[in-house]
Amino acid sequence: MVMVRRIDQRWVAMVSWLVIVFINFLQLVYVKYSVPGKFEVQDVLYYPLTSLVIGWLLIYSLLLPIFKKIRTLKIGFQIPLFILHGLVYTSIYIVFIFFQISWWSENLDMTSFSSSVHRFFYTDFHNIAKNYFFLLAIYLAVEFVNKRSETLSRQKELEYQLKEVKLQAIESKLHPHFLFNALNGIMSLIIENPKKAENALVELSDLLRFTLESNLQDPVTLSSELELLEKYVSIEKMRYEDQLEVSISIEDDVDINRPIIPPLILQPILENAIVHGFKGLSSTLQIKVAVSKTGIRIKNNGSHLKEDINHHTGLRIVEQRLSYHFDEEVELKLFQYDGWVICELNGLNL
Amino acid sequence: MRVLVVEDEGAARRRVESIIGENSSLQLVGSASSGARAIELINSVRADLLLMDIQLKDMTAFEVLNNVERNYAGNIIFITAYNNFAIKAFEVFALDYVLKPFTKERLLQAINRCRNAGKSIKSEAYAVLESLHFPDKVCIPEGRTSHLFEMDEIEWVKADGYHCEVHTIEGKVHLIRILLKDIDRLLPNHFLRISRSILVNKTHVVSFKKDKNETSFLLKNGREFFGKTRYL
Repeated sequence: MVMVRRIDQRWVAMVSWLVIVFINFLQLVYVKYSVPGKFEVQDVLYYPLTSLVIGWLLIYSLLLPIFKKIRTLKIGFQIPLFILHGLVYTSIYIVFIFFQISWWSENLDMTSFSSSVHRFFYTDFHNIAKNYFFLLAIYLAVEFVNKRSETLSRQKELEYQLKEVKLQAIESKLHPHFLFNALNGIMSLIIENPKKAENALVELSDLLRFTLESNLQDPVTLSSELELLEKYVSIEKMRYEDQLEVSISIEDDVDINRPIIPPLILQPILENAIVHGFKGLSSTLQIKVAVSKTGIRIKNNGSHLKEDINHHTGLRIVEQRLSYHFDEEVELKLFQYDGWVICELNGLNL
Repeated sequence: MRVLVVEDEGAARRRVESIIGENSSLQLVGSASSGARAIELINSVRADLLLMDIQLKDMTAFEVLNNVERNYAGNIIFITAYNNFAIKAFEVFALDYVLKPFTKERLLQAINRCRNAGKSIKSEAYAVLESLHFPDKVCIPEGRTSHLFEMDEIEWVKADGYHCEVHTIEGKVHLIRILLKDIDRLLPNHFLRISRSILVNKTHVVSFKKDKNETSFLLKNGREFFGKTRYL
């Protein structure tokens, strides 16, 4: 789920080399105009261009592949190998650059090539070797940044998984309070209305079976989610009888047979409506569930919303599960309108 | 015995009513299906015994008892679907309760025990009932007040006569009128009674040394306690 943002070491090395060459170019331009006669226009262009091309070629073919190789070895081998590699790089670089200069410039011809290179080796070897360590430092820095962001994202991924497991654990349990009240209700019906008690026990068992056994990550069809909701409603109706009225309506163009929503999303919303709707209410609590093409709306005529609606943990879990499942495209809204407390799931495509 | 029934679920209420009806020594004087109706009934009808569900649909038993005109002085048996952890406090303060679902025998047993003891509701009941709203916290009642603490906020508790000093991790000391014996029974299992007068939170213990008659505990804050080995 979490994307790892990696920086490409090749690009960083190439771009920093370009920056260095550009600085070198500016330096030459400055010298050309402050010390007249020292450089020709072509010198100012050719030197940087040569080092740019040779630098890029070497970075691509000699530096980065071997950096990568060396970094896989034991740390004790790495340091001598880097020094050795640095010497090789510097030598090749110097030979190449002189070769190219002698090719286009009249200042240096092939006959004095060997002695010029020798001279340069004695005087300027350390300057070129510095390039090597500069590029190595950049390589290691980028590697460090990449590794850190990798670790961070792995950690995030783990946290995500842990969260989902926790949510499942909380969500997959029916509240003990609901469960024991339901059992007590069924017990009370055994003498009064044995047939009703039997039915309620079966409904409760189905509900329990689902919450205990099903995988809460796999999406279910709307029809099975609504079936589960009806079982839950029938238990609550058994408990509260005519103090509670629930109606469920589905618009004709809704496809209820497509696996689309995570299971047990609607039951906590309804439970929330019952628990909070009844607070301070003396009349019948009406709950209407309406399913349309773009969303699900659950409204109740119960007690008004309080300011601190964030405290409803039941809904918070639903919200988190939805955002995990739909990547935050589906929005859960809880608001008060025209005497109704409305909970809306928007952005669904049913 | 004049009995008042408060239960918001229809079938459950009718069952309790019929159990009372079958028993000649009990007389049903009223029954309410909501907290609001219960308050009206308690205000207008004289009852010796209240059979009351704790979590009513419109309010809690605590709110019912807190909102009646005169303090209800009769007996109460709480009927509850709460789990055993929350019910610890009921045991400690000897409040009568019945767990849902219950058999007829169990309810009658509770009524009989109540009748024989003849005691009325303790003031701690209010605190205990209110604390049920905060299932994640530790509640220590003192009269009608409940002192609420986060689960691991309490570091150690020391008995001081009829009071207890409750020491928290922030270094605060709360002096509460309650017996250590009762706190010990109220608090979750990770509190350990290490001696007659000291209770420590196991999660804050970093090391302990066991000897033949004495065991020492070192807490995170550096404080050391000596407990009697026979207590452990």
